[in-house]
Amino acid sequence: MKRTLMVWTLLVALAGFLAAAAVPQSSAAEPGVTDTSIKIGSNMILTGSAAYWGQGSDNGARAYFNHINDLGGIHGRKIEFINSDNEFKPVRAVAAIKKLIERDNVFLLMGMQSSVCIVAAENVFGEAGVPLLAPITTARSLVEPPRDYLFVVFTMYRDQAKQVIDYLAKDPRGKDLKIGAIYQDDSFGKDGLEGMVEQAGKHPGMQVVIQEPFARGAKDFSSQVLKCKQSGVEALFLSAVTAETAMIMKEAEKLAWKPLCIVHSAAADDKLIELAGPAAEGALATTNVIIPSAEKGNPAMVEAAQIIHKYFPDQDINVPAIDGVAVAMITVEALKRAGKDLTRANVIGAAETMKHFETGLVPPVTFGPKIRQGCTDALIYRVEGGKFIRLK
Amino acid sequence: MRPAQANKWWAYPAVGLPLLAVPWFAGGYLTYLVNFSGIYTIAIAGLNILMGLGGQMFFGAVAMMALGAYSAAAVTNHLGVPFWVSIPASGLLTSVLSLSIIFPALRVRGLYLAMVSVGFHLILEQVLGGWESFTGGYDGLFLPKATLGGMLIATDRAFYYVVLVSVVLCLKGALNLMKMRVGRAIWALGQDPVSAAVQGVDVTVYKITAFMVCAFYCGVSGALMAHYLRYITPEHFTILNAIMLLVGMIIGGWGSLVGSVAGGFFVTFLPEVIGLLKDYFLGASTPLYDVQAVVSGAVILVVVLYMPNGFTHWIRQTRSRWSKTRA
Repeated sequence: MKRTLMVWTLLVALAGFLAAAAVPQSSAAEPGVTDTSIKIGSNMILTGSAAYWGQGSDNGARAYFNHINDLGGIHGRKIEFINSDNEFKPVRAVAAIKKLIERDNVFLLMGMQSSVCIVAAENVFGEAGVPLLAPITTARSLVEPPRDYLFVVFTMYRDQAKQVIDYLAKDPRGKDLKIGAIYQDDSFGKDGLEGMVEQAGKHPGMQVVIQEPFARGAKDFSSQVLKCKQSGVEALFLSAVTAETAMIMKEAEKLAWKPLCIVHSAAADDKLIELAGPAAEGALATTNVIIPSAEKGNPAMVEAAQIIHKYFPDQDINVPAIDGVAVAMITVEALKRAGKDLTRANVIGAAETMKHFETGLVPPVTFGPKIRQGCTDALIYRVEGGKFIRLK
Repeated sequence: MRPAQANKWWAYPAVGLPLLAVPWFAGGYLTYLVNFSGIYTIAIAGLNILMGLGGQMFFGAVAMMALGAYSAAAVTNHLGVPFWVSIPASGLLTSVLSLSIIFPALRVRGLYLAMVSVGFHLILEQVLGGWESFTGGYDGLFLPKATLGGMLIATDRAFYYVVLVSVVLCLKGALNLMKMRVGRAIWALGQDPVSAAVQGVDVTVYKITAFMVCAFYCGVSGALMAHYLRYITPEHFTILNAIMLLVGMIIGGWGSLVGSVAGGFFVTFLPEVIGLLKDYFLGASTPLYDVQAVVSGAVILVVVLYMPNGFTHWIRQTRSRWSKTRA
């Protein structure tokens, strides 16, 4: 009897607690800023199979923030950079963002990696009103529709594809060109593909004759490559990541077929040349960040490399590290423009004033009211003698 | 808890009230971790019935969680099924859908079953990633905020109570099952299928039952996860997560339900606690990520080496050793 009564009492208490808990919790206003410091949080892939990305970007961003601190900080405030690991796991990313906002009291987030983790965590930082500046990812879902608190930098695959098609159209080869495409059959692969098809349609001489999909994780591309060859393809557009792109190039080489290969930023990396070898020769690469090995004479790149090596002498100067410096530069610029009186709303307003902001590492960055895709331009390289050469 | 204690009336408020108060003392971050511990506890409890009790080497628990999560998204988004119905419904759907792996799994044993179940996981990952019109592919699916009788269940605090009730019901169910003929038959099957058959246990029927019960629990766990995160993709359910669940079950204790709770908390809190310790001693801005990962791996190794039967057995052992020395 007493037992039943107790169970009922607990159930009633449960209902009461639940009703009280359903009321939204409010967060404190503008934490993370004092007269001498600003706390900035991030969440990257720092361990696990993709840790190569996170560790490079962490060192790059950290080095640039250290550099700014050594110069006196931003309006007298030193940056305290609190990074966290998501292991590429959305569940851990959400936990990390909750911790950054609630326990570490970060003022804003920047440079977060992996679009799955960002979308998963968006419920948290979006509702808390904490801006995320310059995440290191390329995903349309983050800018369509634009969100007040989310400033994306890197040029989307779609825009990269458009730029490289326009570039080809100016080339004598582009006047009468049969294009084929091999793409990963998901939203990532299709983004680049759709941009290419759309833009090729605008140039009368160009004709897309074949579009061949492959499943994510595929290892055999012989049928796709053979079909493209048989369709008389002259330029082969590849919307895939580095490993698959290299396999496709090697497959074409096996058939003694030498189309003009076009790759985008998911594959435009020194690793591609390493994996594909001579098969990569002559390929065009369109990308959203400089390829460090091809930029030895670029002053912005030289300075970035010096800053990275000053604080992390062992860090390779690779794309992830340059990404880290670039997103840190954009974050610092937004904070500088926000002025002495720092609020999150001020930073959002200040970021919107960036027009053709030059880092020298990524194409010019432009934000504005309702404009949350910073870069729309692309850089173009060609593989010559086993190295990338900058064309545009 | 032993039955003698459970009969004392004051045990209910003594355990219940602190449990109800938890999210009012813990912040959103800790409550989130507790909620996920609860969600994993349910899956680990299911796995414990199949593996700990039934002795089946099964690596497909996270694939079953994925089935539950996508079922929850489907019944919520397409059929408009209310939140509280969608959770048990997803469990049932997962049980039915899992028949597709259960029948092939009946033909194999031991390591071969382990291999078949890994195959099941990998195939399901491809299906979820490839069937874009239904699953949203790698872009994933979104779920609306959950409501319960007009109340919005969107805060960590509110969701805590949903998880709490689910964990209590699931553990109570598992406890009852273990006491019933079904539970004893599954246990006999796990000890030795041949002698179980000789004693009149229909091995096939009880194997199927054990698999379906495990699928139900994993399905409920996946459905809770889907409603809590309101966003699911195939990346939420990787083979690494499957290994993590297994670690949770082994560390909690083979065949122990209390162990499932310990296992759920262990896998969720281990990396976070190491991170918090690092923050406390070295400051939050110190980068030490590889070290953190290595330490969490080392802790798992040490725990498995020194408590091969899990926390619960270890505690029982220490307690009996303790009482012997005092006597």
